[in-house]
Amino acid sequence: MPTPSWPLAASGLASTCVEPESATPTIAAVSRVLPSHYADQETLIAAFRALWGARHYNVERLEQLHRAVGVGGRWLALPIDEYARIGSFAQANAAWNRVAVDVGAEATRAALDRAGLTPRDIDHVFFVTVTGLATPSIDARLVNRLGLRPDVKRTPIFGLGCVAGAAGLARAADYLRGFPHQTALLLSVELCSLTLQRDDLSIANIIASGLFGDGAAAVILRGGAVATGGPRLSASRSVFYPDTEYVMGWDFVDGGFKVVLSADVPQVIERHVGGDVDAFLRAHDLDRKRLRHVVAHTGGPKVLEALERALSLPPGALERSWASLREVGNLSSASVLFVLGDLLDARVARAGDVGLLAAMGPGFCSELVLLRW
Amino acid sequence: MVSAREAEVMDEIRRIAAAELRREGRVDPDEDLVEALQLDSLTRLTLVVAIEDRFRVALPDDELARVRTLAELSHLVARKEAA
Repeated sequence: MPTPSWPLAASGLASTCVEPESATPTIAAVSRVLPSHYADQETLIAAFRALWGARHYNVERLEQLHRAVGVGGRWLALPIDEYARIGSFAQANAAWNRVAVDVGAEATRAALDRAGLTPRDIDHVFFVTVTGLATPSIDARLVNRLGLRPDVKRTPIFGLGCVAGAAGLARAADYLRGFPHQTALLLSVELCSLTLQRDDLSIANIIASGLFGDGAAAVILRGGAVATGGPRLSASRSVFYPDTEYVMGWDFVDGGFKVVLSADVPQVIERHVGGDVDAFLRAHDLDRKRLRHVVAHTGGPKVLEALERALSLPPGALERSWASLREVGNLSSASVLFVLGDLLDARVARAGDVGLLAAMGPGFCSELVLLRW
Repeated sequence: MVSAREAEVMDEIRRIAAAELRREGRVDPDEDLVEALQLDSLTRLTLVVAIEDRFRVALPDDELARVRTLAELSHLVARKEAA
């Protein structure tokens, strides 16, 4: 008589065993939406030069840093001229609410269309952001805007930052393991431009103002019992790095969100991620050689280089992340979902392929997600 | 010989390195900065921008490229201040 391989009672063993395909949640569709106001990097540099030129002693450094981040331009929540009229957190957050609902609704509709589903098919909404505040949260506003069912479950998640795209996928998959007949929406909306503190002359703010952009991504995930194709979210692992709270986050000031971004971020990643990924893969009887696809958060050039070194990746392995960084900038939690969408649209993955999706964020922490086709 | 101003600049650079880069421990005047502060291109630029803004000086890249130690950096900053 064959021994059932799943579920195992002992949790230590359960984490290493393979669950049957029928129980594994899948990604049915990914959509990406950018706001409509594009500004190329030179236009943005000129705007920051006008804003900060008189206060930074050597304004050439600002341009040096803004060119070094490898971003070609950003799509902005508002026309560039309107940012100068924002004088308070209340005004910035009101604009954030207005645009977040618009791009969130557009991303959700696009993902549902791609999956061949309707708003009433969604059983649970996971909404992630770190760039604005809303109560009722944006997911609640989308229930009204899109006509989601009154019994839809909602989990708004604020504060995970850049890791929330990967962590949101992992938490939605955890949920669908318990409810394999259900469908979940993961929606990420990040409007980083509306967090800019114009009077913050820190290096962290110079780098952030050159790097971060605006965007929204939606993912439709389906439980194993109702899955109709797409990559399976076969496992995930959260890794927390003790005593690295200083590396990344927000300080809350009267003007809103003041960025905390240490120059040590790449070093922390390079020190830890290789070992973390190896341990995660080993727990699933895999190693790095089996990885056909790596979907990495587009933290910035230093972060991507650190990941390439930490994982000893061959040239070109993170090309989609580099391209996304060039084209749209770092979209915080939405970035890794943009890269995932690019990979799925390219239709290069084949049955049997194994992929790793990875993002890092404030904590400092990593979230690793194992994809199988 | 280190001038009084250079000594002050040196202390201020140590303070900036600790605040901006969270580098603990005292850097000696003749220590190699890249090694002592574990600088890569980003942390190096972070330090340079902070120093330029604090002392209101521009430090040209070609002159910075010749700087190895804290004493040499303090000397360059003090010289630019006096210029």
